[in-house]
Amino acid sequence: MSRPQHVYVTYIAAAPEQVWQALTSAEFTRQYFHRTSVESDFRKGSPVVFRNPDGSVAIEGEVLTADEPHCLAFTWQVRYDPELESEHPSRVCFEIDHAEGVTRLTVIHDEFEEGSKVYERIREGWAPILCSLKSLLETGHPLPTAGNQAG
Amino acid sequence: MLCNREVAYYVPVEEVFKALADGSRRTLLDRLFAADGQTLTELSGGLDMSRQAVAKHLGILERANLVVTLWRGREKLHYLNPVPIREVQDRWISKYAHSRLDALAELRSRLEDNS
Repeated sequence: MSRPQHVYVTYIAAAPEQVWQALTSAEFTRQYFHRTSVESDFRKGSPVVFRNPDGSVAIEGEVLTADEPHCLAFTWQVRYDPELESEHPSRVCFEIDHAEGVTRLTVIHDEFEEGSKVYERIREGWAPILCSLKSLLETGHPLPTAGNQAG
Repeated sequence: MLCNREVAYYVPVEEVFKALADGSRRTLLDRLFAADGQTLTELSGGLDMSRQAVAKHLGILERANLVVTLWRGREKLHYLNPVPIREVQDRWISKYAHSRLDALAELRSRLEDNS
């Protein structure tokens, strides 16, 4: 495949600033992102870490773009699975647009290496996470099963 | 525990079902599932559908948010967006799974309390 990437779009009844906060603060990621806490000052070049409740690192990367609240991008290095750790980092980009009273969140996960296992394994990963994020921002509750399994 | 937590539907859920109701559109989604990021030309190849018909179906899928398009240079690439399908799943199927799990957990704790 010449251009493997995952693209997801969800519409959220919340302000772009709230979506940005949900993406960049541990208080939120803990609730919808496999119980990990995100750590970063979200400046270009800064490290990003998604930390498991036991303190181990699930994902880490480096901030590429941080244009609050419109666009956030960082590299994506898997640490939660030794089989996937050896792959080159991929890249995740969050685009936050606002139109007609609703915020559209587009997630593009790309730059996978040739034959990437991460690409196949996370295929089903983002949709439940984004649905849970949406539910959290709109109703105050994440989704019970989505994005909250350990590991 | 399962109360009415209504999330906002920007695209009415009927549009998602209507988009999925057509066999040709499901075929297009199957193709994107197998190989994501295809152009209109690539998607039209080997199908018993005219290019215009494929374009029309892709338009319906795009309006239902089941397909997302990105430009790469002069190419327009189509991507399968599974989020609306997941929203349907979370609305109904996960609820039933929860009810069963809650009932089993309750039964277990009653049995343990009694022993």
